[in-house]
Amino acid sequence: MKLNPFIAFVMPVWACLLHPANVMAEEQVRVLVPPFESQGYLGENVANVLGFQLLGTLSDVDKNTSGVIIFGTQPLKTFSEESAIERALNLTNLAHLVIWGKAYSFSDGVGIQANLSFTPFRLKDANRKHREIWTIHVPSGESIVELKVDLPRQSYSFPAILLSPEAVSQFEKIFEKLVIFGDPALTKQVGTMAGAFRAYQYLPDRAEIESNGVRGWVRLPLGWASQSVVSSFSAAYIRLLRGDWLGAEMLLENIVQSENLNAEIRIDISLLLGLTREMQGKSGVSQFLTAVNENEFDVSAIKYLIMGRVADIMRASEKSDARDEAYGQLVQDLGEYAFLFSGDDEWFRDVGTAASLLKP
Amino acid sequence: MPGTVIKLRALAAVFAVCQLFAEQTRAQEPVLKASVWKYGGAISAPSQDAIDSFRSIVADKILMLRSSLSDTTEAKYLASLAIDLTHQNENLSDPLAAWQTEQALLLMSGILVSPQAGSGAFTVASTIYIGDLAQRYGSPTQSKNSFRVDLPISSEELGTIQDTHSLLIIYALTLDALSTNRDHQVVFRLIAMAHNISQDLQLRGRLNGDAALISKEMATIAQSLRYPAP
Repeated sequence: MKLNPFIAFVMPVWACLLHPANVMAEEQVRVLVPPFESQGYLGENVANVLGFQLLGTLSDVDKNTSGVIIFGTQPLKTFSEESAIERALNLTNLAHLVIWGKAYSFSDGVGIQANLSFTPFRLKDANRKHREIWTIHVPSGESIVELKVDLPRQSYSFPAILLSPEAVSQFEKIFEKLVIFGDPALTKQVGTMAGAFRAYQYLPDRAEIESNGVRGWVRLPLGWASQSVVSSFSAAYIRLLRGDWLGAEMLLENIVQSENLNAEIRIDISLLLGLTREMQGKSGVSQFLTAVNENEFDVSAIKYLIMGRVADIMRASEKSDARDEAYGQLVQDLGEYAFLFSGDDEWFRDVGTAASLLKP
Repeated sequence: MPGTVIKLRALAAVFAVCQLFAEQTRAQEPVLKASVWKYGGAISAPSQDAIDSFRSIVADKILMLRSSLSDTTEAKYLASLAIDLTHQNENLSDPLAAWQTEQALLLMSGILVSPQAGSGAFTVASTIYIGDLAQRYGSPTQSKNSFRVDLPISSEELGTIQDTHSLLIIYALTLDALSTNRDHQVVFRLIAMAHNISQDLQLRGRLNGDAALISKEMATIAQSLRYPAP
């Protein structure tokens, strides 16, 4: 990707400094949902519905964080992750996640491909506490060995959402002619929606929007708030990034039984369920094993399993059978999956050091 | 003072974003080219639409694969995976010569079959040619250099079009990585991804023909790397 740094930065920097409260005041998890590529309004409306579904999952957790959904108004320059991330890193967005996609037209309907990507800003944002990074400290005399794993993947492609021609037609008109009211009680009509809109606030059955030059409140049609795999999985990640382990666990438990999952997402649901358990002081090993059984070549799954073994040892009482058993399993896993790591892999070397320190 | 803190935080964020863009503009590896040749049989407007949809799905998927595969240091070179549409209107008459001349990872071509009465959807017979990659690697079980998948171009088959072509491309990338002695971590990453795609195809009842053959070959490669012969 070639960018002119002058054009890319000078103007947005001023915008940022003039409106600092807009982006920098508190720890936020920011999600950009730009319009999906499509013919007509379909892609824009799909993105907006996903955005509203995500808004419906934001909760008030006592972690001094907030979730922010940014409804994009401009389509991406090209349909690519690079383009999605470039837009998300725009200083007016500074998003940590971006949900982007495309609607493919066929003679029998439309297939919608949605993707979720983390931006590099997730790790570089100095305002964030990076709660999602799992860290274990193994004491080593007067120092410690620090073991860390980051999220299992940086991007996901969801299974296609299929819409019949009738559903496409409904989707294209979903925002048309909704009455805009001047007050949240929805008593005084001030206009009607048409074309693109911008969302400001969301309540379970209504939202504050601006459309057609009019800002006000609209009553959301029934069924909008029902969650899709795309929105539930993305929402689980928002909760993880905010440190809302219980909230993330609830969402993941809800979608794990869905038939519309691919292997990659199924594996990561298991890993993330295990992670939420570990973050709550419980063992996540059985969830990690589920992931490994699905794909034993998945390095992230193996890393989570090994971390889980180390955590099990550290949770067990000194000189207990549970500790001996966990240690035996750790040694066995390190031997069995060493083939996935190169000789100079720092993480694997550190785990080996930790194992020797934890030897009963 | 809070204003100053906020401005400093804003500047820190700007600095972080500058770093990110600098990282993304580093020098690139030689191109791993997926070269698209003519998909014949498209003579009417609907058939041309179908073939355009198909090409767009495959091209987009290659871009997505490129992003998701190249996010580790060892796999950075996979960011050079690219789709080349220069020859999309030319017939592929001599695949080996084209593969060598283009220095391509693989060539894609095929034919569009009109829908049978009542079925509604066009079918594409897509052929992927990988030259002598399998021989270069010295595959003990596989010497085919051309693979074919037949798929309806319909909304229900969107996932299958993406998955079968992804599997074929990942197979070619695996053979390329093995024959150029890339880090085994890269190869196992490709194997892991192929395993997931095979599972998805299997669940949909679409792991058959050459897709099944490649899935099996990837499993064989995985075992040979995991338990190398003494």
